[in-house]
Amino acid sequence: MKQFLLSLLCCLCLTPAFASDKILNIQQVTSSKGITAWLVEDHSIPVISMEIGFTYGSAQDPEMLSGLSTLLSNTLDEGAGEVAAQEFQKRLDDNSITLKFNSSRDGFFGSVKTLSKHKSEAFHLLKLALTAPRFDQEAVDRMIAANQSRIRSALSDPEWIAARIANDKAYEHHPYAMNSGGTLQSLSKITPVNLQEVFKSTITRENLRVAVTGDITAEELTKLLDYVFASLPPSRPKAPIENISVQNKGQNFLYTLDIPQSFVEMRWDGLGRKDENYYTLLLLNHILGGNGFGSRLMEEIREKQGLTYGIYSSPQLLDHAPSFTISTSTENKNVGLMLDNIDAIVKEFIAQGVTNDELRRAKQYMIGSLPLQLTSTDSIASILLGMQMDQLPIDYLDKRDAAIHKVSTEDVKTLAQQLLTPEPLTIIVGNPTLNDNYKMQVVEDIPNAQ
Amino acid sequence: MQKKIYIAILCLLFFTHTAIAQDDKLFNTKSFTLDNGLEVIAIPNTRSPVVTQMVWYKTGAADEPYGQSGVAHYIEHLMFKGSENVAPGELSKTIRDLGGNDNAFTSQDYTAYFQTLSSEYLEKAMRMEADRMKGLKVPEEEAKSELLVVLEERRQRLENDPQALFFAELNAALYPDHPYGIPIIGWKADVENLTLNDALEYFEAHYKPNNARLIVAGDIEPDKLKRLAEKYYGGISRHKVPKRIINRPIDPLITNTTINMQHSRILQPIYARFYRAPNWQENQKESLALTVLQELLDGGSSAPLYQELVAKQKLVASASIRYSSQSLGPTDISFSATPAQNIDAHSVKAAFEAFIAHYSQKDWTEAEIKQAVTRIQDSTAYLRDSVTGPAMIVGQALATGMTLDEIEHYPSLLNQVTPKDVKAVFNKYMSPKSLYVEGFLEPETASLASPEKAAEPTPDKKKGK
Repeated sequence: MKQFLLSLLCCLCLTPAFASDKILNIQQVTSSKGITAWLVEDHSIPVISMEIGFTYGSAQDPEMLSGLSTLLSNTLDEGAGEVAAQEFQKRLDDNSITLKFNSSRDGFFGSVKTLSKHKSEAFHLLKLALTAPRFDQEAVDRMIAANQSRIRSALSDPEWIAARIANDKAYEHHPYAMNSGGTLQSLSKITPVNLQEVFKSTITRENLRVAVTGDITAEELTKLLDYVFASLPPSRPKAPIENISVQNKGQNFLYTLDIPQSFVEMRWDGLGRKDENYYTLLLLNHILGGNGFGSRLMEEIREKQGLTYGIYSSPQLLDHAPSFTISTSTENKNVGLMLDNIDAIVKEFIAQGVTNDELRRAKQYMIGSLPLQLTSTDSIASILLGMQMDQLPIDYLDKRDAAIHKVSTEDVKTLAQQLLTPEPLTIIVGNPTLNDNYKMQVVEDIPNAQ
Repeated sequence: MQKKIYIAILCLLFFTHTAIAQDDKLFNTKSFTLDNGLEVIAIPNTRSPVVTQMVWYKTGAADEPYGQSGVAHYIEHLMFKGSENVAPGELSKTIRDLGGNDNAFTSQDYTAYFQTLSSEYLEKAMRMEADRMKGLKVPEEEAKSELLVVLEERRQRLENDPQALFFAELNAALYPDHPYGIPIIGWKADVENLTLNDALEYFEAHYKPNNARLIVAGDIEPDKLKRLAEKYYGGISRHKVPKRIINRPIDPLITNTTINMQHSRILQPIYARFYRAPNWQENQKESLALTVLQELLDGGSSAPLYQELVAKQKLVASASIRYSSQSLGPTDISFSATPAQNIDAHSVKAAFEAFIAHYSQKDWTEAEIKQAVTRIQDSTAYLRDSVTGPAMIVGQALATGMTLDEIEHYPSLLNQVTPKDVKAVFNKYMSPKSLYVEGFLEPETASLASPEKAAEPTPDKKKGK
């Protein structure tokens, strides 16, 4: 059966990007100056996507300057070298080049998408941004203002508020507790000097990972890698980030907001991508509450009872604090009923495990859905980058099916018992009606916002 | 290789009526119509072994009977609740088990259903999609619980979100005499009282093959699609459908309208202004010129809108100008902005008025127009880097009045636009004299504090399943 499914998937591979014996034909390309990239060539359309990552994220932000890494991502493309901000943006706009940066807790990311005919300009601008950003005071102030405006807008969003409280409570006294987007105050303190510092720490050769997909040959890419990246400086020491499990498990926190529908988030410990049980977690997640209709939570709580528009579980992959969440929303008067339902479904899952048929269908989904993630140059490049950031081997995708097939119902049950037996950290934002079973601690101020 | 040539020849035979030099086409679509009136469009793209099937019904919220607002969206939900050979919930679960995904959305103009999955399973998806076109078989209790889901969706998208409520108010004021003024998801009282029977009557009136379009994008050969479409959809009988009122003429605005909304949960104010504008079918020349105008004013952060209001004057944190020709009924060109900290929204209004007073008088150069047109043309070159994207784009354009030929040649149509055209549409639709609907969304101040009203409409043009 395993062999059959594997060969079935391979039969579908038609283009050069899909080699006959591999999910993707990934080449590892190393330049003469030692820069490495993973490449999938696809010359069927005149588009090139490059995704880059640096293993240095907002968890390294000093607490007083939270949002620094995010602000770096906003200002790297605001002028570089002799090219001022407006001119830099104009050259991107006029050549229909997408150049974007963003930061997460564990990494800093850049992406370039260009038509082949504009590739020289695209990669020249990338090089400028990565080697000679200006950080002009005017641009820095403008980006701080934009971030503050974003935070003020988000302060009316129950889901955003819940995330602030969840991180604050789950990762107390840990860098992950901070808002990677910064606070209204911390942002206002950031100066061009701070940005120069975090730039020098983030954009370095050892931190760099590169993935490319599209209309470019390996030979051309080797030259490009040296042109763009060879002059990046070596890395500096990083602050160590401790591993942390979800704090305040079994505690319930309420932030009262005058809205008709409450948002609910529950958080347990999870597993990282390199954990040997990672695929077990993905299958557990699919059956319990992942990927839409058909999950136990969705079927019982939306389809049978009509209590919500959506309920989802998902693994959260922070490097030092992987967690597992369930989130949903429901009319205020039904929040108690919702919590009772989730509790019953999770407890039954732990006690009974999953059926052979559920597991078979979950495996079929995971294997069958992979090609859907490989339909554009940028999505393929993102997958290649993710694998490198997580230090996975280049043949990871080819071994994926076998690893999925190995998981047993017993594995799923054991993992469910391990992760979901402790009561979760629960956050509610809204104006819920609750019975005495649920002791809520009231949160007065939204943490890490002001 | 030989097989491919054979297929290419076949395609030529089948689709000679759309034969135009292939290189000029944006998507290289092939189309045909079944005897029962179902239009079928193939968008071949064999880069990966994946297909997207979409069925677009030529009916949406704007076709609802008075007092049943939200019924178009409710039936979209009930389409997943069972038909002759497909049990309630079975369609989505089957697609999921095959590694695919599926969803649906309702707009004022159309309602669409889609599945993306491995191309080897296309027939399974077609069998189920065709089954629900034939007719629904929804148990009463399923319909009742799904109405609760719809009401939760309404809370989530609209009632919980002051910004959504604000834009809904503006929309209602912009289209007082047209169904577009009504939120797609429906007025609350209407939705609460919808019945399964209301929904089925709506379904029976509008969901017919001659009122629908099948689009399959990705790893599909057009001749194969023709065979499959005939096999699964060909046997469904055609039926007369009601004449749509969506594109009837509406009265012009008679005065400017200002909506002042204060909300206790708003910390970041918004200023927004809407002008009426022509859609594609009403005036293609003006539509193209408005599209270029939008690109000239707000095509990225190097464009004048951002440079003037954000970078130079520092009055706003963000600003945008939007125009979409893709509407069967009336459409608009709009401005919205979030004032910078400690800047009054009324100062933003004044700055925007000065901005349009200045730029409406500007004589754009040929070079500036060419640059904007090239940017739009280049951006369309990315569209083929996706399977589902082209199906969405082609489907929406067809559903809002473009022809397939116009879609395929859209990039070159833009070459017609002249500096004079751009100045003309600016002065016709967004001049200092044009009538508008504007709104200020601001934090609640002590003097203005009042009991929160259950405000209504929705700004979204689409509602997902």
